[in-house]
Amino acid sequence: MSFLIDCPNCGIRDVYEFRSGGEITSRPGNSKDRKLWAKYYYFKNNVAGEQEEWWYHATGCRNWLIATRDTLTNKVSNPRLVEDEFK
Amino acid sequence: MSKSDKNNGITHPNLRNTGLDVDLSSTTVFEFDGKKINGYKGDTIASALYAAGTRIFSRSFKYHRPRGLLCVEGNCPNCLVTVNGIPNVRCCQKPVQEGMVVKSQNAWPSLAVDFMSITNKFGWLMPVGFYYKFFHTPKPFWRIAAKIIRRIAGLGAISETSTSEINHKSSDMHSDVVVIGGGPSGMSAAIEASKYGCDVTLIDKYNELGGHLRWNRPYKIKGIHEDNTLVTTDLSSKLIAEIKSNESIHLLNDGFVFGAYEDNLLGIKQNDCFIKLRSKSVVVATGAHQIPPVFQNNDLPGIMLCSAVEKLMRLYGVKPGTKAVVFGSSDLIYQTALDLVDSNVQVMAIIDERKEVPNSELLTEIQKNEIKIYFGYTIVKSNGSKHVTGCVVSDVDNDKNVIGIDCDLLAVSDGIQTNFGLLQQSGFEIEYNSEMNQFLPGNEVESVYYAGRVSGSLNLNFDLLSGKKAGLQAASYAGFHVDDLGDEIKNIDDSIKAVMKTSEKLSLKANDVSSSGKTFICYCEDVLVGDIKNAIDEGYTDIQTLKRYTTVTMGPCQGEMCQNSFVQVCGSGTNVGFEGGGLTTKRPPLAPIPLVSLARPDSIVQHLTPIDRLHRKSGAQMVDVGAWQRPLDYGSSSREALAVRNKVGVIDVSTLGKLDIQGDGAGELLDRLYTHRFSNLKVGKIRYGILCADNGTVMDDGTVTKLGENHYFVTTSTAGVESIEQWFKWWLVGTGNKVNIVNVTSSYAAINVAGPYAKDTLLKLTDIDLDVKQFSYMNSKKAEVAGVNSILLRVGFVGEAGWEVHFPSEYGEYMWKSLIEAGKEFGIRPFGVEAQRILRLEKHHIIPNQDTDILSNPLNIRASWAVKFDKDDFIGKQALSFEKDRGFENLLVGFVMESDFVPDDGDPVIIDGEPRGKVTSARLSPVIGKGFGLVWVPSKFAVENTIINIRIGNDDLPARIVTSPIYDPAGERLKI
Repeated sequence: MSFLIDCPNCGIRDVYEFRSGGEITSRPGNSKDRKLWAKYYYFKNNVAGEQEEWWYHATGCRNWLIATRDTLTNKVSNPRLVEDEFK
Repeated sequence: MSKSDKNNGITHPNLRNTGLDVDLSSTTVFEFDGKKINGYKGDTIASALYAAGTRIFSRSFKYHRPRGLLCVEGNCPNCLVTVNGIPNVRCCQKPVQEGMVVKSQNAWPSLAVDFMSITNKFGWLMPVGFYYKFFHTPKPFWRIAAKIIRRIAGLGAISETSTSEINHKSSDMHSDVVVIGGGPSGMSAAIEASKYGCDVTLIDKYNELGGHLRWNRPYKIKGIHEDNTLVTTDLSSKLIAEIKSNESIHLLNDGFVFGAYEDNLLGIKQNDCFIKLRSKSVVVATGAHQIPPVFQNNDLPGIMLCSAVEKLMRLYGVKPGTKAVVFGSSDLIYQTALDLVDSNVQVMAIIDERKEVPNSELLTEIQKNEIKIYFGYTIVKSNGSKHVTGCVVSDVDNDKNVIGIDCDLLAVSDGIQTNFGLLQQSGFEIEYNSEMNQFLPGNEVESVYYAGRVSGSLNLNFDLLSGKKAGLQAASYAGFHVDDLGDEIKNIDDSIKAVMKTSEKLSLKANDVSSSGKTFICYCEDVLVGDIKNAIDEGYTDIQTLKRYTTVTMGPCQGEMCQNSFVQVCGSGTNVGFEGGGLTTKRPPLAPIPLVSLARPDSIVQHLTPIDRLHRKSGAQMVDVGAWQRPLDYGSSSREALAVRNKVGVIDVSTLGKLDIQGDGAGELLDRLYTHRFSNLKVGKIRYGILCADNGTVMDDGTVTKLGENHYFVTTSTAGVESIEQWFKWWLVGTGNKVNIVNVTSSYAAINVAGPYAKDTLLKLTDIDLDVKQFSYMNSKKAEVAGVNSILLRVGFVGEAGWEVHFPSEYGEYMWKSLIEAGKEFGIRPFGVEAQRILRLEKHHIIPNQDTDILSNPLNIRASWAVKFDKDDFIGKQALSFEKDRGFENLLVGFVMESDFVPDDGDPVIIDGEPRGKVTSARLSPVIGKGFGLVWVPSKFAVENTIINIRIGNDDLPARIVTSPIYDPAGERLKI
């Protein structure tokens, strides 16, 4: 794994500066449905292709990003700061 | 020189000619198997040994057959030796150094007489996979056999002292364009790319640029100059001069690119240095190399690739033999024959598998030298036991027509194999190209271009043109402007087309390969053609499974010598031909690289506390805790622990993770993250908290101190702060809460002062009232300590009245000294991590990830008081609710040993003969003088005074369950 991520704060950096937060999932909040929680926690979509992911720039700006990564080629596109996403 | 070599009638050339690389005026003496060998400056170990008469360089992997120089290019396994204790060094690539100690491998007692060569006679007993077939049953037999086989198999032996000799320098580099390969096409690409303003790095695996032009016979190049007078060596000198004077081109000599990774990261080995090079675009001009033909006894010493023979002569000035036969199926062999004639080697015959030669000039020159040419003949076998003494050739069309020829050198070339490994790693699919009759890239990959012989051509003009084109494309991709890029490329393509019309084509031969006798496909693992055919008969009909079963292409050469022959035998054996069989994959590393270089221990960051120097001065034994180094003890952990219990102790806790959290939503965030509630905390109060994952698992714990309205100070475990900061920020994003999280771990040093005299010690340094009525347990105050602005936290991890003093880390040493001085009259003692572990264990205070694991939650570690289910939502709430409803299979409780033994951390709890729990922490208590600790047991055993058995070594020893801390269960000591 040696691909690059274009951090909106810091510019193009080696993936080793980042920690992966995995694919974006939706937390069931206050739901008491055990199956829903199990699905959220243990089951991932494992898409063969593009997926939206969390990335944390651990040895850079220490911000969370969301980026699109093609899991087949590790090409990362559209990295963006999370604040922008949730405004 | 050994006697047996003499018996084979080899005469050794004692006189060296001048070679391009060697300096005959400067000798270098080194040792080979105990003998002194004279070499010259510029020699490799192999060239010096060959010149000194060595013909056997190693013994083969399985049959221990004698092996001599074959490729002289660092590809084949034949010249592996141990150099200064470092095993498996290819001596054809290793320059000689004065006094170096070289030892042969895989032979006992010597290369000339190797007892294990007896296996050669019993080869029929040892087909591929024979260990598994023969030693399969009975089962205990395999254990014995495996030990013997492992000792016999394998190559050089590693020694503990040798690894420390590996110098592991490493560096990181960046470049706009990287060109891999310093031959004509690579040089052409580098020059072209540099014209557009980019930084170019040119990596060449050799010490000198030029590639094959350096060792190939010089000839006049047609089509570059109008008068056709430009000679290859002149062209090479011209290109080299241009590169050396070009400031945009950075040259990396002796650099081998062993791996190409995503986004153009290259792993490069340059002598003892490991380089990571990142580039915007890459030109792969790695060229091609000759491969040996497959015939009976094709592995005898004295059988060498034509390119190897030319290198010995031209680069090192070594006369390779006296009577030579040259075999192959391309014009290359005629050049080799003429070179041999020039070196006063008698060329007995040229065996050309083709029926005619297209190059009439070469033919005329050969005929001038009266060399006999056998057209349409192929080689059937070679004769000799320890060295080649002759060969047998036969008519391609009539195998009855057989001729024997004496020789002591057999120069062979079975065509070329392109060095496509880096292309494959970059994402190119290497497919059989029927037009070129070669394995070539079948697709395009963004930002990676290739040029020269790796594209399957043997034409110099093509090399130059394709290099130019690739350089142009690479510069353009790297973001540099190229005028009329499309037109430029079209012009080059047109020229290439014109060139290729007249070019000699390479060929992969599809004729059936004989499988009789010792006909080697794989030199590394001693795999015969017959072995592969047998494996196909056994059902391994796919090249991938065939590779794994027979281990062909998996040895030190990584397929460089055998890939094409293997594909050929596999294709014909399974009736799919070249097209259907496919290729095996060349994964990194393409050449061996010491693991120590990749691990880069020099790049590991070690954190030291601001008090570190004083600890070492006091004779502390240091221990790694996460990235930190901490004092384990200062001589005696038990005495240190007793000092804390009876007097006063200080411990450096600067390594605690510390987060400063401020903002309107800070309390809300903490309520969401911790199982406990913090928003209702009063200013100045401290509360213990547990962090859970959403599945309820304990992640970390620590204290939260409310320093002001919307201002909290959080401590975490030493190793966890980076991930906790990340965790906090993750749950913050998207909430819209305005909270600032700052990691202040290294801004604040911290010292915990604990013990009955902690208060008296501190009172000498501060004015504030430390009386329990004014400053009770789990409260904090800002105060000056020894004149330094500090935050005092009254906490009790070790179970005594004590304060964590947090202060700016610049004052680390000063504060430590001040406290030691102040506590002197009370018998103060510094204590280390080990004493702290004993003390906290006596209080049953857990350490996350030591006492907890993936199945631990706040409820089954019996800390349900720290979980506030009435909060709206918090991370782990639903999972913990499920757990609570379900009940607990196991619980974490304390135990005290009934006997004098102390278990180790991790020892199992045995119930009804089965392991049903485990000790997470165990120590000898200095207070009660017995082994004690924390243990996971099934819930029904987690009852006061229950006796369980802990297995220590081979004995099951009784222990009594205790549900309260063994020291001061009521917490009276904290109220002093």
